Amino acid sequence: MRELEAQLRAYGSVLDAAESDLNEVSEATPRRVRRGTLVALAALVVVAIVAAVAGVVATRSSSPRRPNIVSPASTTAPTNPPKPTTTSPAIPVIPAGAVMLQSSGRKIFAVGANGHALDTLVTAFAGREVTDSAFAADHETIWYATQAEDNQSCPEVVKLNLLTNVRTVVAHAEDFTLSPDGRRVLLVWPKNDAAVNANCAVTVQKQYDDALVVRDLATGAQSSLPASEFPTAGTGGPSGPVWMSPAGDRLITTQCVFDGCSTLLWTVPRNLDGPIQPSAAAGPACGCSRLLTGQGGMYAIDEGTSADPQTRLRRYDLTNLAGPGTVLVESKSVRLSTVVPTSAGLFVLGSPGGLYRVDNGLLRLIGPIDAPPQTTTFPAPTTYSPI
Amino acid sequence: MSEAGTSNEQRFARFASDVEPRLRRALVSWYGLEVGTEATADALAVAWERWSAIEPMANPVGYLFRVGQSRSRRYRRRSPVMPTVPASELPDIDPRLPGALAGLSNRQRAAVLLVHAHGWTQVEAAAALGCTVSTLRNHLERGMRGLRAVLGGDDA
Repeated sequence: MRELEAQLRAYGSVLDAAESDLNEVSEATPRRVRRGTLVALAALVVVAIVAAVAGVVATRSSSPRRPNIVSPASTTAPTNPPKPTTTSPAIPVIPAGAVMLQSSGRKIFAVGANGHALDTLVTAFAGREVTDSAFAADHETIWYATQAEDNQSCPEVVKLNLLTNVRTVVAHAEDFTLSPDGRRVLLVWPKNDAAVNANCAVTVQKQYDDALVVRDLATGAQSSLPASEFPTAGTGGPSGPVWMSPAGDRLITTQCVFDGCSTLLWTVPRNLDGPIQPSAAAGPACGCSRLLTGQGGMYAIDEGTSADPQTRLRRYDLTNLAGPGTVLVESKSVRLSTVVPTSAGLFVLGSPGGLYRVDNGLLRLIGPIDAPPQTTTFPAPTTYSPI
Repeated sequence: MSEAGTSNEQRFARFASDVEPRLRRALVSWYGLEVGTEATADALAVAWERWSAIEPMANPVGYLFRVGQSRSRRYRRRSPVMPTVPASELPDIDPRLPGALAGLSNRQRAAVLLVHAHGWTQVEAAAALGCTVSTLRNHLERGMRGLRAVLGGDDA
């Protein structure tokens, strides 16, 4: 039996053939007119009648459905602030040789340069799945984003203090990016059904119609980008990755549609005393699925398109984020998904294979990433106190 | 028919022929063959009804996917039907694969089929399903884990 990925590729052809057969059956049956065609014809008649009789110029609402937007933490205490939950005493946490954090299900684990899982650091709350994680610059805090496995309750950005083992739900944002100095955090508002249906807000105080928020973690000052200013098709915030410059003064957002992805560059006021503004400069020309800062600049994984399935790792000088950047490695046979720029080397995750090292424009396979160890430095708290 | 009307129809026809295969793949991946095909037709009917609003959209497939989901509620009691593996594909494809796919959640199945069976990129699949790439990855990982748990595999 072939590998699962290969079986699925072959099964794609089976699906295509079955869909064609179904369409042929539908078209060969005279009485079975598609309901869609009937509705379309009826709609056409209605439109024609309305236009002819009323002669009205139809106008479209300038207020497309707006998503619920993350509300910033206020400098005043919320009426029902997040309750930190404390469990066992803290233990030194960063294993020697760790080059990255990986997550699987509820677990966040450290991985070494050989692809071996070194230690499971965190187990998230039951019923939640980790979608992103990062060490803060102080190496005392892990930030991570989770979403509910049932997709019904709000996504959360959580910070776990490694010294005190206190977890705090920071925001009901879908994702986050920390500046390298740990002073600023970028929060990305979720645009999924769960967030909208569950009426997610970052605090209980108020709704806040922002797509992106950059917050100073020391002062609480923040700048935001109103959702109405974000150029989407009424679907809310960015659908692709976001990036914040090391100084926290520039953002890149990615918006993906079927013909590919486009990026936008945004300017954040240095003192966070105004809104986030679109930049006059162009963003990267990249179908980016990952954007990360590392040694030597910004790294981007460009997935290409299904018509041109070539994945590339690009690097951009931080002084010039426009254009295609420098292609460090490209592959048609390995689909790159994550880049890990470290002082120990440049690593990427790809499928098939797992962990690769980028070496003079070539991908050197290291091996698959281990499953996370079962023991956890910080087990999940027994009580859960969401916002 | 006015010139404007004809032009509108022509633009819609081009749009429909361009979008329909991708929309159908997304909805069939989500709901299975029968419901997905019906939902695609319904979504395209709505596309024509609301053509003036949909035409300028940056991501009409993502919007119509949501429409297809909404319109498919009437069919949801049916469990997803995935085509059986034809004899010509045995033993290359595990005959249990359709059943295992049907056992996944809709989101996981859609992520797995769009990315691995149809070769879409993760950003394309995320755009179609109206979720972020990180969410898509999540469903993809869970879906593959679920399949391996049924079919056997290294991380089952």
